Amino acid sequence: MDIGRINKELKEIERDTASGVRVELRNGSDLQHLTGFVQGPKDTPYEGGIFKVEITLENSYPFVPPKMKFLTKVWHPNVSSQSGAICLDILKDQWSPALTLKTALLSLQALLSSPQPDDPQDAVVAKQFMSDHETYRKTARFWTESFAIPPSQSALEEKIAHITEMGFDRAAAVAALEAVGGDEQAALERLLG
Amino acid sequence: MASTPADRKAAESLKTEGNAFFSKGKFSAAIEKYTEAVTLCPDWAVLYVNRGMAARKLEHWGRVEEDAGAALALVGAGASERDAMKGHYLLGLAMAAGGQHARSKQHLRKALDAAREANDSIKDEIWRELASANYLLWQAESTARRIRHGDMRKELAALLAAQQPTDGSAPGANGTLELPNDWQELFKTAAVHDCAVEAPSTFTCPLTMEIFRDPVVTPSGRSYERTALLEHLKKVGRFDPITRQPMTEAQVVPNVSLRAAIELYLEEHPWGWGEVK
Repeated sequence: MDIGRINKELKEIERDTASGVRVELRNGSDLQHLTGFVQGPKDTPYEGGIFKVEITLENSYPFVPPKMKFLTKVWHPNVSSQSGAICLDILKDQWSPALTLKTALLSLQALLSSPQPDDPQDAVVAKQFMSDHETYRKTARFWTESFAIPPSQSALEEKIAHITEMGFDRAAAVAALEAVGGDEQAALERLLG
Repeated sequence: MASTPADRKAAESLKTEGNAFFSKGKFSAAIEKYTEAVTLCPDWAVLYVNRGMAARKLEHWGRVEEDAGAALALVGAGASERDAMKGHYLLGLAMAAGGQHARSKQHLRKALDAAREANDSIKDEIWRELASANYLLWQAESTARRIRHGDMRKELAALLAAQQPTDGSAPGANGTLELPNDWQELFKTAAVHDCAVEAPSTFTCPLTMEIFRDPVVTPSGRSYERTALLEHLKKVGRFDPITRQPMTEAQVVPNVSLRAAIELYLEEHPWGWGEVK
């Protein structure tokens, strides 16, 4: 494995704080197992989220693509809602060693901005994206608020707090919010029956 | 005393045995075989080269220097160009081990030029050793320079203090006198030479991200480190890594000008050798 290159890549990512992506070592000095962080792009259902990516580098990196999958649950046509597996050409047959961890993570960010439902990873999400876009958008937003936004700043937590203050229990509030895609008013109506 | 054809034949089989030990990492045993062969054929240069290579693995630098010298002494008397190249290489290594960095550099340079000329695969290894020698030389020189400059500053400050009128302007609170700003600037400018910074990206390979050792250029006009590009063409696909224009190994051409520019850059920024070694 080209340790020199990986170290340079990590340094470069650390230096460029404006890019919206970040990489951390997962355990000590092990350069093969890394964690990436991708900021959800603005004006998308993913805005405000920080999406964790599991990165595994094989010995022949950069002559094979880095293995990447989302650790944070994402509702997206090109990401498995079960496993986090990603369908992105540059992580497969379109990889080039001139690409880097940074450019790959930026490509993930671009993928969040522009889903490719014609080449889906998650058929259910892709179908929803095409046939019921509004529900897709709401679900994606709900997942972002549930899994990708730290609880302290999460709008979802606020909504849950509002509903529980009215006397509903937390589990019921969460279930209702999920069912309606995070809309507080609709969730309340649902709970009130 | 010239060796007979029978001696030569015996030496050849001893050399083969020596090589077999060498490739198994049994360097002492290899040295014994080469030594036996040398007694039979004392003017066969490759024996000295191979014995020197084995001694190098054991870091017996006295032996390395002697054998390299013996091989080089046979230049013009049967030593091949490859023997001469390796002789310079081994001598360069021995000099570096003995702390003689300037002489080491000369021999490694000769070896590298010859290895490149012959496109011998040992050239990358020589380049690393040359870079290492250059880096050590720079470290030694820059440390000495830093100490010398520090001494000069003190001396100048003392001279300046001696000229000051003894009444009014006393030296600074801590008893030392600061140099005038212009002089301080001069010292600062001199120190820049010894400060490691990042090399310009023009001089680094987009695949290895390090300063080029052996840059090659593709039909798209992009330059890459030779070994990295060849690995890419073999493992990833036959296209230019940046432009994705289809290409083959046969189209790879050395970028001699870029290599020269980098060597010029390294002359002026010797800390950069630390990266290419």
